[in-house]
Amino acid sequence: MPDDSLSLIPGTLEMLVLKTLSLAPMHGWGIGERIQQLSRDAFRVNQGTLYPVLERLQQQGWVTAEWRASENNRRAKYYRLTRAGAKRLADEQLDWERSSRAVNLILRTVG
Amino acid sequence: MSRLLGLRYRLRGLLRRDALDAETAEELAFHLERQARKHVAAGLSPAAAMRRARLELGGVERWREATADLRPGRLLHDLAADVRYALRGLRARPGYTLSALATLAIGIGASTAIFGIVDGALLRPLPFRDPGRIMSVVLRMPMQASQLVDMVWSYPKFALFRERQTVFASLALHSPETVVVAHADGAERVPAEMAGASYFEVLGVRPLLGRTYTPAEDRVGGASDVVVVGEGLWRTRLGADPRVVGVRALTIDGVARTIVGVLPAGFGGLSGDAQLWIPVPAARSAAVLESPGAHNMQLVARLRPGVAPAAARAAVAAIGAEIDAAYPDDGGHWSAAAYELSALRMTPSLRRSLQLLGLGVALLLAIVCVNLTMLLLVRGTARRQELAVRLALGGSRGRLVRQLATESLVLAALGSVLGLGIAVAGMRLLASKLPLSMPTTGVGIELTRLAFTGVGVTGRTLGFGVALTLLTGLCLGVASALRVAGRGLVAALRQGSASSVAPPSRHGAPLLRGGLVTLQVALAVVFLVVSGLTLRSLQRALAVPLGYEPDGLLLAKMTLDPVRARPDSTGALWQGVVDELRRLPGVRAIGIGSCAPVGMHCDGSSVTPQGHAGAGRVLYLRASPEYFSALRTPVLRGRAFEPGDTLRARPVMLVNRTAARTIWGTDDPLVTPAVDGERRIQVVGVVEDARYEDLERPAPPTVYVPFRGSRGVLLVRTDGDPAALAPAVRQAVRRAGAGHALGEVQTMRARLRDATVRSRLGAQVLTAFAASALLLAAVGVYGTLALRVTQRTRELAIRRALGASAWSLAGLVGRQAVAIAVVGGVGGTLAALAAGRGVAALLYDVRPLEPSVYVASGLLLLLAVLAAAAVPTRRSLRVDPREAMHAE
Repeated sequence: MPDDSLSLIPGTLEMLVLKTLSLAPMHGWGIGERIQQLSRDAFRVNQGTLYPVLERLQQQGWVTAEWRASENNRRAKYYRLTRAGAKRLADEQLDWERSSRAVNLILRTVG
Repeated sequence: MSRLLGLRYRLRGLLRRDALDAETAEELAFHLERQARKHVAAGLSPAAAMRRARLELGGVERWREATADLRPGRLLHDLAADVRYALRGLRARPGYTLSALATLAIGIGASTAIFGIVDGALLRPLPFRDPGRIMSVVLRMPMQASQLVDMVWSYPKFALFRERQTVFASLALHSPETVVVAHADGAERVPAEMAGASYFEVLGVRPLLGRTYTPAEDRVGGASDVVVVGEGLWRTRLGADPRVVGVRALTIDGVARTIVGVLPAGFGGLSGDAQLWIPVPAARSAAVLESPGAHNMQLVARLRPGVAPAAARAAVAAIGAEIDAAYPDDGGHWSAAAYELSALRMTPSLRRSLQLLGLGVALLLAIVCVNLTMLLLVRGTARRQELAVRLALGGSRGRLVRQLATESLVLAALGSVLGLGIAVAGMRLLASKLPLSMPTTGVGIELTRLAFTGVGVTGRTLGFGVALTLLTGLCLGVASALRVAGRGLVAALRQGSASSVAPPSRHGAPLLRGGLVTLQVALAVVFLVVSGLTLRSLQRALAVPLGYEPDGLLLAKMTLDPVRARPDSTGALWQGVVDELRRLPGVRAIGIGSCAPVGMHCDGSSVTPQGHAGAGRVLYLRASPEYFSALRTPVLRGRAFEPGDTLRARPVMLVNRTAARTIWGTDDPLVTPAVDGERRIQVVGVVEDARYEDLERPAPPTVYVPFRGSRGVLLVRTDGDPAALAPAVRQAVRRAGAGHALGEVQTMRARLRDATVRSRLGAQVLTAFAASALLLAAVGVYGTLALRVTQRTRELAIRRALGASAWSLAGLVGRQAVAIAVVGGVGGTLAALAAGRGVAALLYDVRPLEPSVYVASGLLLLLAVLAAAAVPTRRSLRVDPREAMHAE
């Protein structure tokens, strides 16, 4: 399998996880898959870093977790966005858009 | 909300760790399963798919650590694990652990106890407001014979000083006194102070109730029928009744005085234990206060704001010259000086002893540090490989450091609990005996006693101990951490245990280490010799005859009824007391003296035999006719006093054997009288030497004159049990006169016990030091040798394998032990010879070269070193040749 995927921009994984969870509650493995899918395979999530991020998000109170039956009826831990998490996502998204616009402006400046 | 959720999550982490761990494991299993299925779908075999999934997750352990590190309660959990691990590690190496614990306990125990004493006696501020601004002003007699005179003023000279001085805001005369207070149920001797009206202002004490007296009530010639009482007396004698103020009167030395105020608890004036304060004119007659030569009061003053002590000293010296000009003395020039209170709080000799004690502790602490370093080295060398392996297997460096630091902290904590235990026990013991061990004479002795009342197990002392513990723990921890952080570890792994064939030079400095241990041994020898000399001195001092028979003897200080006692009536009043006592069954003799053995402060004077040029200093006592038979002090020549001696025109005296020998010399005292100005005093007898003030020194030259006066010491000789007779003695004195005040009735045996406390205490403290130093030196020797054996295990094993006998190997270790013992022993003995010379001056009848002491010290040392060497030597004997092969 040729590996031409990008590594994540540092600091964005948290935002991407929140975004993924804002669409639907999901378990850890699913979150990684979903990010990869949504980015059309551009991003591959380093699975070793995903779980610590989830841990941190739980501590902040931005996501909660519960055990549910998964698609194939196996017990899995599902993460869900809390209201505070939704607000956090909105904030981060805003910040991201602003700064990426700014970066783009600079990069497109000619001569 | 998010906070609350987060908090709940954290709490759950703290409380339900195991559940969380299980969840993590399950979550992880789920992840792997899904990922593997994905790979299977892509065409991999199930086994390969699982492997790949695991690889992608990137090391199960790491991720688990990474999530777990974020987990709440992680730190606490790890700490508990580290502590458990540390305890296990310590239990596994009892030799190391016990050595380190003993070292720590001794170090922390000794330094905390000594700090407590030094702090109470020397460092802590005196219990007065702003004590740094209080000065003691003294008048100096020309060619002062005794330093006590240094403190003393007469009223006219004080008045002149007060008029001229500008540097003090307030100043007051004062003097410790013992007064008789009459109660409904008899009379009581109470420690009191004569104090000028400003005394309370100078010391900065405010009355708890009422007021202190006014300058008008303290004026010479004025009506001064007032008294201020201490809280203690107010509580015990006046029922803590607030209505007594301004109303009740106390009969003090036969005069009714109105209580105007109560001072707060804990205040005992400059003498420390006063319970009554009376104005100057209440304690001194008008005649005394008019006489410029009646020097019998002390002066204390508070500096005016903005005046520095040095400026005050200069001003006081200048006024001193004026006083000398106003009251010229043929004998020479008088002068005045001022001291800060803190300079007087300790007598010079006690200050020196305390400083020596501090020095001893500093040395002991140095030994402790050397030992701990050495023990850590031993431990570190043994663990280098273990640590290196763990690092290589991916253990985090931080975690390892934390584990080692925890081990050190656990060790320090255990050691200090033991140490603080030792300190508290030691302080209790010392504090209970210190007041008894106070010297009875010297400058500022009241202040010294006062300072010592501050000695005890206080928060400050415990704080010091705890701080010391934390510091030790920190140092140990850092030392351990450096071992991991050091670059050498990986190298250690790479080299295998090559380091043990050639001792690594980095950790080497074996010479330095050997030197330190040798120094320890030498110090231990010095401590041993000095304490040995002291013990020997004590033994000799106690073996010398006292000059009186201590069994069957009761004594009590007594003051005659102040109302009835007049110069012409005291003889009859004493006779009345003696007559009552003589009726008691079993009483054989009743003596009265101005002073008695032992530990009381007796007056000093000088005596000149006729035809001699110089005067000899003597102890000067007044004694009744039966005084010597009550004490059973033998009259060697001539006779004791007779009832008529006081009335005879020709004055008489007795001298002791030492006075006869040292002062009369070749002249016969019974023939050659003493001269006092125009008077000639006939010596009627020579009595045996008797020890009065202390037991450590031989009896000084002593003279006795016939007894007179209204206060003295009553001596009752009985056939029976003296302690059982004490209540009867008290009742007999009451029958003779309800106004007579009797102090505590003690047996002579009890006084003797108290009197030897100081020297026994000194010997005990020194012995404790010596024992500690010896133990520490032994631990040090053990540490060094153990390190050596550990470092050379492989070398020893190879030698064994090559055919060297076990004993020749043990010799390698033993040789070093012998070298340490010999070099340290010889060096220590030389140092002890020097120290002994200094110490012997303070000792009784002991030469610095006391062979038995040196031999005993040497033997003890040898035993200790041998015992310490035994364990490492045995280990070297048991080195298995196979070990050499194993390790590679």
